[in-house]
Amino acid sequence: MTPRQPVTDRRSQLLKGVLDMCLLSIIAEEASYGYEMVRKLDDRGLSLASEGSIYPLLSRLQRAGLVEGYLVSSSEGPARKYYRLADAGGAALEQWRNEWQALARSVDDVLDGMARSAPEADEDGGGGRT
Amino acid sequence: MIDRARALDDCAHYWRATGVPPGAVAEMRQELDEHLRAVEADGRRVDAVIGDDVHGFAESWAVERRGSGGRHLQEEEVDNDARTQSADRMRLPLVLLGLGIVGLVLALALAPVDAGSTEDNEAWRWVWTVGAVVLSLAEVATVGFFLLPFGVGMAAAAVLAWLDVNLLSQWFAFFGVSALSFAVVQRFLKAQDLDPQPQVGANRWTGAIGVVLQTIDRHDNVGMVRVGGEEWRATVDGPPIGAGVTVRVVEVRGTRLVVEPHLEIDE
Repeated sequence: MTPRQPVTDRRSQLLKGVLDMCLLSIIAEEASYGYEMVRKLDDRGLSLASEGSIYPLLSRLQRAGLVEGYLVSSSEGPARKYYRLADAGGAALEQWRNEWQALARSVDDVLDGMARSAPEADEDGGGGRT
Repeated sequence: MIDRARALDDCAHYWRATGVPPGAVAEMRQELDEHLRAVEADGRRVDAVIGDDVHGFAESWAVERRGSGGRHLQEEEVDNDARTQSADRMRLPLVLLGLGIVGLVLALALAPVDAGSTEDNEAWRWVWTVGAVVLSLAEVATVGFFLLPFGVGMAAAAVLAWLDVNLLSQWFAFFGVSALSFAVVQRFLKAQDLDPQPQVGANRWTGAIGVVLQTIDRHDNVGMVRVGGEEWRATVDGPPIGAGVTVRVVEVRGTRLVVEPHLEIDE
């Protein structure tokens, strides 16, 4: 893994709100252990200011019955704790995903609206939405 | 800059002290260890995982693993860790005691000593007297009651010297009285430790008056109060309490303050 650049406060704040959802989604894709999840997030451009912050969230997901932890002995070093999706986890993820997508759409709309009313936008309709 | 072993020890110590079940502590420690090893293998630093606030990290995780009965540990309690505290407390007295013993041995070696005689009492009077005074002053200047017994022992020997009792008896008096007062002081300290302590940590909030910042509803598992300038998560055993209501802390449960509405009739 490449050394990562410092994460801006704002970005890490935004990520904080959706991190549990991202972890749940990663686990839904494939049972993983903590460090592996950090790497997968990193590969997708989501680097954490402090990686350890995933563990409280994983514990919370486990306590809520959305994921299950289990130990797998590893070739080097001590046994690894993996997390896999529990029955309730799939439904929760589905719901969270819908909520997120609705929110993201609304936020996009608001931001696009601001762009339209910005000075360089002409009055000829709401055409140039990208 | 914190290293892996230190970070693991700090976290495990914090978790144990704050009521995380031992089995969970072992599991969390192992999980963290695994992650930190991987990060080190990447050539990155431990703070990439934990950040610069080890206790903050430990607490954020502990919150999720504690059953009821745990407590939130305040920063100053963690820093006053018993090990470092007792180490600091013992260092200075030990150094002084060592110096004192070296001084005594030198005095013994330089002075022509005939243990049975009373001829040298002129010198020993002053050795004992000055020693007793120095140790008593040092006792005042240091923490703990380590030097005082030896000061008392020297004072006893000084009395004998001034009474012209022979040197051997003076030494017996010094050791005997020192040992005796040491035992008495230790017993006294132990009794002190058993006395009820003032409430510390989260428990000090019991009985405190606060104000609700965020509606407290035990069904939704939400609620915040402000007491004494700090914000705490709160819960209630009765119906929900809205923001702005004055409440009294009934007890501390886990990391939440259990509150009840406070009727301001006693104002």
